[in-house]
Amino acid sequence: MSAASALELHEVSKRYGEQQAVQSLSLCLAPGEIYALLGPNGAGKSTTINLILGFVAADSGRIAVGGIDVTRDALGARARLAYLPETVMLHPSFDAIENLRYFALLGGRRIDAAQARQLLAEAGLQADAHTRRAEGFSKGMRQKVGVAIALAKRAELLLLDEPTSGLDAAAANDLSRCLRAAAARGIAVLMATHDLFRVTEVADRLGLLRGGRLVLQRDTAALNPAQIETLYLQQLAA
Amino acid sequence: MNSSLLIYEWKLLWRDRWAALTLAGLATLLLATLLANAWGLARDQADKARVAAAERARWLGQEAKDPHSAAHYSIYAFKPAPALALLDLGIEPFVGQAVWLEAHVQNDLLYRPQADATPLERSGLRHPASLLIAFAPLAAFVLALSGVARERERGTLRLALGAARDPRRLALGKCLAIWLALLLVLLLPLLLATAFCTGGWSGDTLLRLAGWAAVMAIYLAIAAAAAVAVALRARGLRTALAALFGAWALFTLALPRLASSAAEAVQPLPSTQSVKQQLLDEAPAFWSAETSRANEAAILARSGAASREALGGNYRGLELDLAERHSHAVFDRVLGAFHDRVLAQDAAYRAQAWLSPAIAANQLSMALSGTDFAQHRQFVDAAEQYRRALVNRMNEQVAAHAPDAAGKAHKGDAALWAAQPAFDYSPPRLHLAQLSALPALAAWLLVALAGLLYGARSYRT
Repeated sequence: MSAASALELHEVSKRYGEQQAVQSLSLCLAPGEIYALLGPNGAGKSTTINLILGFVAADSGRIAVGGIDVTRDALGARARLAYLPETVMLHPSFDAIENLRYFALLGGRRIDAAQARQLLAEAGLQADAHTRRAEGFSKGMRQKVGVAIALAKRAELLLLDEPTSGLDAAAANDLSRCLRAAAARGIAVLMATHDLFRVTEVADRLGLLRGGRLVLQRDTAALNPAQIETLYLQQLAA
Repeated sequence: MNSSLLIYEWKLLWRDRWAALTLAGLATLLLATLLANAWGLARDQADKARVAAAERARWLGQEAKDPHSAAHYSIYAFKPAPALALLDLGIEPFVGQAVWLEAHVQNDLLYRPQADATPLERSGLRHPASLLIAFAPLAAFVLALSGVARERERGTLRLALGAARDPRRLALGKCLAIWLALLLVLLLPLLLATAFCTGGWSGDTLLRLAGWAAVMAIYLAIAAAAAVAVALRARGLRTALAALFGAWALFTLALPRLASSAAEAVQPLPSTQSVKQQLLDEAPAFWSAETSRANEAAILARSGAASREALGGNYRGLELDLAERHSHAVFDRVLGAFHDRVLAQDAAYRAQAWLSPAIAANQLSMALSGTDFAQHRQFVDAAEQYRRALVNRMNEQVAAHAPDAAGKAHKGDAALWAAQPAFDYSPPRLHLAQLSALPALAAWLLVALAGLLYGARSYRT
């Protein structure tokens, strides 16, 4: 495995009972690269993310984050990545700053209130929401705090599970801007998504999962959303 | 463990209204129970001191009489409240508080507090230690459900575990926050109230209180760690609730009762009635004519005298002394063996502390509070030694003085009564042998911490 890769999956398989969730999946992300993992529901996108996080163990194959083998040192690997679930659920009794500082502490980083405000601003959260309790936050606002949490960790790899699901256009655009900024700083991004428009907007490469297998990989530079959709539908029909 | 993280976990805990209410409710119950205990014990102690003084005055002020009659007239001895009875009454409600010290008989203790108990007190939950041991784990479970299982349902746990550099930090932070909440809200007020309500602190009492606090702190740590471990492993709130409630019922209700039954089966006790009957059969207060003749022969043989008259003094005193010493041997053999069996049954129960931390905590609490049977027996033995000394002194007076020319027996007077010192009992000091359940409690702590770390590594998101 290459230590220069931000993420490397080699022949990774995972089965849940009779269902083959992921099969012989190989994938490599360079630092600063944004990779979109596409596929219908049940294709294995979330399982792939859970495997990388170490939340579930692979049946076979190897996964490395920044050169660290997830199977051998799951904690060491997880220290190098940040994770943004589809729905970011914050502690409702904490305000945005408290949430950010708490989750940053879990990630091993102590940040002060000023740094927290700056990170929240970078993530696009309006200043008047910084000291409001999260119980009243919209999904987009919670997502922004989640992005700030990920940025606070100074991770080498950012994992996002359906990050734009349920976001309005402005919030999704804010998120795209954040991801591009993160990639510009050398952070690799792996996002599982159905949002083909955002794929062309932010991703450098895409991969299509079907039945747990990676059936297609392409650079997105020369593709528009309509072309991606055509490829997507062709592969599903194949 | 990062202190800032602990502060955030602490904030999370306290902003949960239900968790705060649970702790506040239990803390109020504990304090109310302790204060009620303190009031009752202070009242009883004042009564005992007042009646003991009246008894002593009656003894000293009695008219001149046959010393052996005085030994029958005798006096009551009162058991002082053990050092920390207000925290743990132990066996105190079930054993008497005063004993009538009279010639020929080692009486049972009278005035058992249980006889005056209210229905709630008869339920067995009448002191802070039993309430803490029974219900603090439930409070820990409520906090763990709130801090872990509900976070899983809400989705914050997944985010936290994804963000955490090491999930053990998260688990330890939650465990420490729960433990600190239990310490500060449940244990600390009890200790402060005990310090406030207890007068005449001795080094031994301080040592006992420190030991009691340490035992309860360990017990609460076990509850907190086990609660977080189970909540981390459970798949959902309902599973966690069922698992935690099941664990609570098993370890604090079922296993202590099973252990008690096992101890009774392994070390059965004879019925009290059979022991009393054996004492009546073997230590009679009065002799038959035939036995009296045999006694006379024994007394004469021992002294080398040819006749009663050659013995000098009053033969009756020697015969009374012989009877008394015979009964002492019977009491030592019969009652001593009975008490040894009670201790053996206690030891059999204590040995099962490895089955449940509640058993270990209960046994240590009683030992540290001075309210277990071993320490009660020391009072019984001390009162009995006092009784024997008193009766022997009276019988010696009878034996030393021959009847006067008119055949009238010698009478004891105020000087004789004053020669008998007042009964002054000092409870035994704490020693390490009383803490034999401590290794089991420490082992439970290690098991709970291991479970916590395992739960943190193999959590379910």
